[in-house]
Amino acid sequence: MRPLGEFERAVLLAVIRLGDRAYGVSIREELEKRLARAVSFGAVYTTLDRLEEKGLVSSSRGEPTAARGGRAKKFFHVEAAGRARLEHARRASNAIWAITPLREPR
Amino acid sequence: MRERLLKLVLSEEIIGDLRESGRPATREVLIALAPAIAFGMLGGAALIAISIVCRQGAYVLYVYGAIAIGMLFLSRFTARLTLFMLATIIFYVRLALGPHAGSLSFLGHAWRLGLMLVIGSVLSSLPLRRAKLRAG
Repeated sequence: MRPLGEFERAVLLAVIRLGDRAYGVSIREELEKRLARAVSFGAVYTTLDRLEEKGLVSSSRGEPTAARGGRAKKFFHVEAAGRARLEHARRASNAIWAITPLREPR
Repeated sequence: MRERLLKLVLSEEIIGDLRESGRPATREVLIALAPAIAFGMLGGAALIAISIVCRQGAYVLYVYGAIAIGMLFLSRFTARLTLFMLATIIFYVRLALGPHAGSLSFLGHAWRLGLMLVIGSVLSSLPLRRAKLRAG
């Protein structure tokens, strides 16, 4: 099982934080706010598609809206397997930080 | 018209998101085509290199085989065709401007490039898929 990458973790956390409002535009805005860098829709959807293929997220279609030119939103939801992988990633990261003698800069 | 062109490169979800957020599409299009452009330039360089190193013309088929495999990594028809035609055009320009170039008429160039476009279109429309690149 390949560990989750940094961007994959960020996307999963953004989807969890957004809850029922997690779709392309809101996920991208959340990622740009949290990561403090520009994020493309292409990168967001490529990551979400990969996570969906792995069974870590699921998606559903909303109603078409005029603001989107009659296109429906694609909402994402993190599955139990996705939450478990995130928890595993956090434990692994904490274990590494715990043995690293890194001091705060003065 | 603009949305029809965008549909060639971007998914419906991304086009909808761009419209809703009011962000420009240029960056998304460039990101979507970046792997195709990079592989296409690399393929063109490889075709030129193999034509210089190996005297037998059939060796370019090996490079085209590698290009065809590279196309499997791209999910959209337009990206695949961009890769194939960019490599072909780079190689073609090198041949057309090279020391052994013949004197071809405009039609002579047109049907050769047209034939490559048809081959590229057929290869690009094959329902095969290897994997997805991060931005593709």
